[in-house]
Amino acid sequence: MDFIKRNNVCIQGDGDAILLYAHGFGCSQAMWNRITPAFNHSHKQILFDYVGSGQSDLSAFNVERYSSLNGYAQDVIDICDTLNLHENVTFVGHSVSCSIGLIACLLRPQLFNQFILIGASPCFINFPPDYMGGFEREDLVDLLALMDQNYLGWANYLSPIVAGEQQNGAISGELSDSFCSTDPLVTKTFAKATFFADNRDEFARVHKPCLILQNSHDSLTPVSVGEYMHRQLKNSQLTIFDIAGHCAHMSHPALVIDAMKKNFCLQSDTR
Amino acid sequence: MPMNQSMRCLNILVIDESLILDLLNKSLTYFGHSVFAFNDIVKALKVYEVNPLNFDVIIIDQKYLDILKSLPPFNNDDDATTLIKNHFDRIPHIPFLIWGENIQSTELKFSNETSLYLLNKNYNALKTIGNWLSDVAEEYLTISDVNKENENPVYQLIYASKAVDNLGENDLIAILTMARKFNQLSYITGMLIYHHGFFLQIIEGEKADIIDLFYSQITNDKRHHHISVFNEGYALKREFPNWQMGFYGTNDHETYSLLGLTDFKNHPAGQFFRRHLTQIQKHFLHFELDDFDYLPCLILITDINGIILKANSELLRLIGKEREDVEGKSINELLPPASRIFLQTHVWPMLCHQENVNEIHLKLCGQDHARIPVILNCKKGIFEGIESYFWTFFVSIERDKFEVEILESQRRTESMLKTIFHISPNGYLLVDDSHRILFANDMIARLIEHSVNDLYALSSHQFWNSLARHSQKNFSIPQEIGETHYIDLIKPRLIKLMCSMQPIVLSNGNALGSLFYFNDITKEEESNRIKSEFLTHASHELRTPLALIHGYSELLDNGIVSVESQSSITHMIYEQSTWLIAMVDELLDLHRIETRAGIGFEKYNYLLTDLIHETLAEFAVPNGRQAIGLSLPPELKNIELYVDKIKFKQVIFYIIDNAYKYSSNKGRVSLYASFNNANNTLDIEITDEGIGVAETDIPHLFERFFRVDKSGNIPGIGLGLTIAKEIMMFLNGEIHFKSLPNQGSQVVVRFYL
Repeated sequence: MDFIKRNNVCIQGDGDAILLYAHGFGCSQAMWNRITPAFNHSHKQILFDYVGSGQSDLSAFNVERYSSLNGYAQDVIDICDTLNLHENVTFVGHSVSCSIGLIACLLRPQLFNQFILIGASPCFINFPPDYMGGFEREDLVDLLALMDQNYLGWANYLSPIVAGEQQNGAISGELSDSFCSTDPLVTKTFAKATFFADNRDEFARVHKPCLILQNSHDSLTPVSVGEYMHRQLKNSQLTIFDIAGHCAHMSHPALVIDAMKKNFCLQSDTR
Repeated sequence: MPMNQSMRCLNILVIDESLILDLLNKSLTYFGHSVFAFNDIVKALKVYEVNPLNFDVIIIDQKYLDILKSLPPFNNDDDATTLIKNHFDRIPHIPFLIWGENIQSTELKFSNETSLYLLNKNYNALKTIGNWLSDVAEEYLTISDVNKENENPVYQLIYASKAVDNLGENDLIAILTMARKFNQLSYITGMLIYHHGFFLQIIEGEKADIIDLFYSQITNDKRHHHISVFNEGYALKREFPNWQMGFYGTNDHETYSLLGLTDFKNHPAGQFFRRHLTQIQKHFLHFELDDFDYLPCLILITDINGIILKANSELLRLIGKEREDVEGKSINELLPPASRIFLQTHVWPMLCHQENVNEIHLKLCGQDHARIPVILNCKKGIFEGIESYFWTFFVSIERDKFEVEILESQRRTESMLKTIFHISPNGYLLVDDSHRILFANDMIARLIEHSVNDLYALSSHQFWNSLARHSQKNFSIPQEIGETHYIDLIKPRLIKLMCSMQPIVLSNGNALGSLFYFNDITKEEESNRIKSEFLTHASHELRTPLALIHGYSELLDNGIVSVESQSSITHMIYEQSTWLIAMVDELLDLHRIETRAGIGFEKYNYLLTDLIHETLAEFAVPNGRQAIGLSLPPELKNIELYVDKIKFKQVIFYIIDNAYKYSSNKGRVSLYASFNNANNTLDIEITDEGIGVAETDIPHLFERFFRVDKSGNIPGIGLGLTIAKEIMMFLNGEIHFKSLPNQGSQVVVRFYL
């Protein structure tokens, strides 16, 4: 299979150092377009869409594979293998992609040299008293219902009345090119994989340098989650931006770029 | 002077009537034409090294608007107001204040992006600003104290003016006093004096000295010194690039300036103002959402971080909150968790990406934990000079109910049809005009040994090719309604399919695709074969005795049979008709068992040993054959079976009868019983040393009318084992058959105890 086409892999920039950008749930690689210009002269930058997102090949979507984050991690590994990348890749992930990147790291320990984690959360569900991911399980069930309702109006898809597993790109209407993915099955599968995942153990097993970029007012991932990750990830730094929202790289790209640059300097100094 | 490189102040630019006239004159000099729009004024100001876009607030004299209206292209046009508004809209981010005597607030309908403030007197405007700054200063001081920051607040008022008629020395003093009140002058360290744009003097010194000097300047005889604030700025920029201008005053026909030379960049005061700009503006920006309060939708204005700047009354009423509880808070606080997540994962990224979203379903937190379904449209814009998002929510309770019902109905139908298609023995394949597979059920996937998921990755061509590889011979694909083709598959097993096609047309007349329907007719074919075999056997079996009866009775009828022979012929007729009756009874028996499904069975507990002994005693061993070899282990003596005795005997009879029939005269038949403790089952095993059964025949043994002996030499109509199997179903048991050709057979009758 042509993974470059499947995951709509785009490569830009010059440089020996490699940045691999992984978008979060509900979006596509377009979310990085305020960050990448800053590294075009210093890094080779690899962007991609997960299967089912952005301009990826929807026909490659498989409910079974993408029902857990491991399937998405396998996308990352497939891309690196195809591009002959075996080491020294810096993984830049947003939200759920942070977990995906760390899972990929456990599968391929040599592949990555460091992680930039933006708005990461190992688990969105509360497990009191030890862990407060921010949401009750019922909230996340409500989310799936809300998504159903939104996709009812958004996507002019062949009704899954019959299939329930309709997924082959029949959604070729005007929305298929839009920024957010519009295939209900794909999105719901990704949402379930994202919001019901619990990767706390995986985080604890990663020892690579990680820069955690946490927003002070992120309604998806509370600061306590950032602090939890900082404790779990043995070789991590925690930077808290005094901003609101979950997408610092879109809303405050300068802050993210600055933090990344400082981190790269630090990493090269300590190397 | 306590210079602080990180200082920053709130910059206010005042452009009054005289300045506008001056600018008009200057623009003729610099541009060769007169300015008529604010864009041009911006350009003109740049000549003076003053960029209005760098200011936090710009105050413009209403006269400017009048001038604009009188100039081309407006020429006092009735629509001048609208046209001017459009000009204003091109200047984003900066709140404008307009004052004047000649216009009313209703005259100019600025967009939400343009802040509007009207005052009747210029002087009043200045006083208002002064008072307002003073208020803010006090507020900031309080905060400053709390933060224990040992810094004085710094404000800067840049007042660009020339020869304001009604602003005299006393006014200036009042303004200065006002400024002093909020420590403005504590940073004044120097004064610059210009004449017609030429640098005359820069005086540096203590604040008090400078102020005194200023008073002397404006009261001395040097009235010919004409000073422009912009030239000052220009020089200042040159001399002190990091410094900003201070205060500017005028006296009668001449203008003087007093400059506070400071660098306020990044000063906490500046940051404070930034954060509170909206609140600050409220002091003199009477832009309210009152008009929106009457609209039947919920309106919110937030900054780009989602902090609520405004909420209309309709929204507040619906969510049951006071304005103070909402404004200044995050929009997240109005949303229940699921909507909050959706906002973060979908709405904000889309807003960042395309600056608007439409028709998003969300829920708002209502009173008493109620969830209010709403539809959201949101777009980016400028509100009171800052980048904002305008959110409109439409309550959609009924629509929400309807959609939830649709979704629920869709899910129900989906589950129902999914199950139906899943278990259907028939195959359904929906293909669109582009040869994509839109739908295929499990049966289709099984045909080509794929999973349903993998199937969707194929084109219809690939599917048909794959099917062809599984097929015994070439087949045609149906192209028209009514066209039917047969497909014989050899793997994964032998299947005969009947394939037809039906186009699916939507109610609007558009074709959705072609539905190919695959009917598995393997069993049907098999059934036909069995029926055909039955007819052959039955006619043969029935005809033989009937022919005999017919022949003998004909003899009797003709009276040509001797009296001695009559008795034997009558006996023959009796025997043959008995055989016929037995055969018909068997057929009826099978039918009865099948249709009554065990009803009428009289089941009781019997000792196994009794049952077997009684059965074997009643069985008539064929002449010349060995009796049945019986083996009943002693541990079975107390085992009881809950059965209908007659039916039990019938089963054993059929099996023993077959064992004798299908073995040679010397062949032994034996019966062995055993109890399996683990499964709690009892097996009665009957073995023979007969001709056995070919492996391919074994699956058909229990089919009605199936005969192992195709020659017809062995009597029987092929119903015995079928009946035995049917009976066992209702006796909570089953029959297993093991055999090899010429090595005898082993039949196990198993009872689940």
